[in-house]
Amino acid sequence: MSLLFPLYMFGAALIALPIYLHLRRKPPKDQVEFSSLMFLEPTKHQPLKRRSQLENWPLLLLRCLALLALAAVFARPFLTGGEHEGEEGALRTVVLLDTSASMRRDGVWKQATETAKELTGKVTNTGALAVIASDLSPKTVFTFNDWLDEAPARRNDLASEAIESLEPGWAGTDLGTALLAAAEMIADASADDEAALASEIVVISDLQTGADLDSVAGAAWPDDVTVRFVSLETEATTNASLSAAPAKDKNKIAVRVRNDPASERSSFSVSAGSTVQNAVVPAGESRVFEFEAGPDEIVLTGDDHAFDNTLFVAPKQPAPVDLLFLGKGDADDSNSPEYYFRRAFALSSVLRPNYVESLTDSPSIVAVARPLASDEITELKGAIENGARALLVLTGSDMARTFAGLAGMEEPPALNEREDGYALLEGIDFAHPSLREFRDPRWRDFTNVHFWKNREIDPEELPDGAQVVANFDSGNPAWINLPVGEGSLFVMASGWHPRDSQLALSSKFLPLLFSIFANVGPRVHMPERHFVGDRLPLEEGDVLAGGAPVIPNQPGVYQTEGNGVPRYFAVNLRPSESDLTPLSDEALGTLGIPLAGAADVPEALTSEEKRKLRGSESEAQQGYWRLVILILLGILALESWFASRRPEGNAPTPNLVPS
Amino acid sequence: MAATSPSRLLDPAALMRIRSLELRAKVVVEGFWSGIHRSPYHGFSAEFSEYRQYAPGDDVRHVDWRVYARSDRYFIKKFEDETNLRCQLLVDGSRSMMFGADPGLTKHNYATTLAATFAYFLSRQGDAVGLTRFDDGIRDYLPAKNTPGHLRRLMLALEPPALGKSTEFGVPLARVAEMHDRRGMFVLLTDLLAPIEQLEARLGLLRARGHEVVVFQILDRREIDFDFESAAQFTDLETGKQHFVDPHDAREGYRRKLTEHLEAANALCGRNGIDYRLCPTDRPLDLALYDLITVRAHQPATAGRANINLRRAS
Repeated sequence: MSLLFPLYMFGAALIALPIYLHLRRKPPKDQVEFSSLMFLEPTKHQPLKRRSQLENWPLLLLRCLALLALAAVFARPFLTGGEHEGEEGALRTVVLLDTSASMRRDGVWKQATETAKELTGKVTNTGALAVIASDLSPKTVFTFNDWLDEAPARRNDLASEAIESLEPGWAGTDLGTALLAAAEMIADASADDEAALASEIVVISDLQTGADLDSVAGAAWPDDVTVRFVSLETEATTNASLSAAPAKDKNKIAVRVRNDPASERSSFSVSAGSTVQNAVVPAGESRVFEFEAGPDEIVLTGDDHAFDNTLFVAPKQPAPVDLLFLGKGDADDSNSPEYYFRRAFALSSVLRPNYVESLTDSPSIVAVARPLASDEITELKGAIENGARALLVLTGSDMARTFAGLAGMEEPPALNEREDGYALLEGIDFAHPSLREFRDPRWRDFTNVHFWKNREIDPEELPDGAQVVANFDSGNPAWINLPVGEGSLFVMASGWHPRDSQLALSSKFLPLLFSIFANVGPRVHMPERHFVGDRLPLEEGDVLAGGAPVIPNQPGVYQTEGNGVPRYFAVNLRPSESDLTPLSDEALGTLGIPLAGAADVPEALTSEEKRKLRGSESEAQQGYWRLVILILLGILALESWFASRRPEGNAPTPNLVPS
Repeated sequence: MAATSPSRLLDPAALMRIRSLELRAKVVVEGFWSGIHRSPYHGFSAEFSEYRQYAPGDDVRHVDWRVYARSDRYFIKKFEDETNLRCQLLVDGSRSMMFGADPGLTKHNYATTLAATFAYFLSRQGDAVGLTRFDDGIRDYLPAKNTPGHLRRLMLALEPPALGKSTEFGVPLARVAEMHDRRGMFVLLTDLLAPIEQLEARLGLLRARGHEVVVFQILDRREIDFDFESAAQFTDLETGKQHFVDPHDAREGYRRKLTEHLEAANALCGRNGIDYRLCPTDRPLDLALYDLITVRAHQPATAGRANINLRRAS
């Protein structure tokens, strides 16, 4: 049994206090008024009792014990001679080296490799070492077997070489996944090996807040694994970063300059091509600056760390989308539905429509406004079942078979024409994703859209899962959303062209069409953001110019080639990489990671310090002080109980009335 | 004697529950009265002293004309009023008198009740009663009178608590002696818890002037027995001084010193022909009243001494 802080045991000397208090004869606090003291000799007060007069000795004993226990709690007792004793370094060590972009800061990487190499030097012959490099995904660069297979004399050099071969990349940080991978590696090694070695994962990282540790929360850790965080820091703390922001003016590009909360300076300059703007951003805040579109690179200067100072901007280009409209009539006839559909999805700065002729071209947006042939039905249904989204506009009773075929109904519905007066919409389900755009009370009014003709659908006949999102005032479904396989079908019981209704002429038409197809085709309403380490959404047949990998490993503007019009992808640094505030110990502690000690920069340890470190680790594992606290509480409870049933000997009020 | 039979004596503690001092005195005196008079209607000579043959120079107003009508002789009817006693009650008003094991029965309560009882008794007899309250000086003084409202004033003067910071017999008694040249009786009600060196000289002075002096030393039973149990800080009621006293250690010395003090006081009184009575506060007041009467009966007559018309029950 040893003590982590033996000096606290001097506190045990406090037991002199209860002993003195028990021996002390209390000077009586009682006051007696007496007529005259002329015949009274004052009695000399005896400060201490004789030992034989000691009262309440069990109480005294309990109080002494309580003080001893208290001193013991502070002194932190632990048992030495455990499994680690005498086997220093007999550990399986996994060095987890952060290679994310934030490690590119001045001096950080040098610190990291030196620390890692120092660790490899400490692993003894009985131990084993593995090295994992981690940014967004962990990469094992040196395994336990690499270590064990090598001659002991060479092991260290080999591991150092592996560490030196690494360098920080441009990707983000996912330390959680890497930690789990390291734990798994240790679990595997332990399963193979019968000698149960204690294992340690040493995370060498800048431990920035952006390091994603969420996946670790609640994870099960193998026994005997401890994790030690070696936090690397730099002196320079001013860091500002750039990220894309939505521009108010579509001809401009906007950048958000974010200044780190720990920054000491707040004045930077941002340059785009020849334009330079002064950016004054207080620490911990962000500001948006706009530039004329054109340059593909925006550079920030004036902070300490350059790794996140460049933002790449792809040239603006409309997103290509393949559409197919299956309808009757001429596309240029303003009485046909297709006329309006083509104008809704026309060429714009955000959209480049490409109308295809058949389903074989796999269009992402499909609308049907005529009866289909059986092979077309089969083909379209297959596409929908595989996840496509289609709009079915019932322009006449003759579309019953098409409807039944696509919806998977056994019997085609009657689809009787109704044209008595006009119908209005009611019972609109604004909570439905397709109509969510109209949720705001300002856009909810559909009463100025008159439907001259519609086709009656009996809601009873609809297949399971069909959701009526709007009704006509006659009670028949107007718009139905039908899940089919993995995809879905949106059915309208009336067309939008003037012969059927006023819908195409209403302001609701465009938002309605776009929100029906909101989840298919290009996301035109959001700026495209691509980060290092993410797969680029290339279309089939596209390749990147210069043979660049599909998962880019550094920021820049990537261009496709070969397949028609080139597309551009601006690949940037993950914004979380710029979040450099170090993770607090509390944040690490709450994740349930079996921490070995405080995150600190290891220094050359003397043998005394090593002994202390070992002691503190043993103590932390054994945690006897908790047991002592329990004992202490028990003693105190017992003491209270004893004290409450003390005999009347010390009753404070003597009976003043003579018997 | 019927008056002293235990069953008829009044328990002082019970008596003190009566709030009115006057009523208390009345209770004691009425009980006492009914004890010493077998028949309250027995004769009416209580007011009448003697007949004396008229001699020239006597006031003609005192001639009893009825006797003259019957016997044709001039007789002077002498009434006791002429020779009434003038009694001055000297009540100790120092704070030490406020002590009492039972807070309702302090020495002060006892002394004032006793004084009130004497006053009531004597004024009922037609004697003049006065009051002097003193501590280290005279605090209240009422000359001896027997007028209708006097008794009431006297009772009121007895009511306030004793707050004197110390007891001093020298100055007040000397002053009292100066103020009274007509012979009378002085009843001193005190705990005598003060040095008694000066007492002898002052009381001797009173005696020398022909006054009768009776000393009632009033002590609490606790002061006599000192039966405290636990050690405590004992505070002097007069000086406020504090001593830590363990009664077990101090009791013997206290009792010895007290006994010496009492003996000294007794001897002092004996030497000067002063009647001395020790009155613990648990002693029935009737007995104290009885003491007063017996004192009167036994005290050697002094020349020209006033005759009080007290009858002992046969």
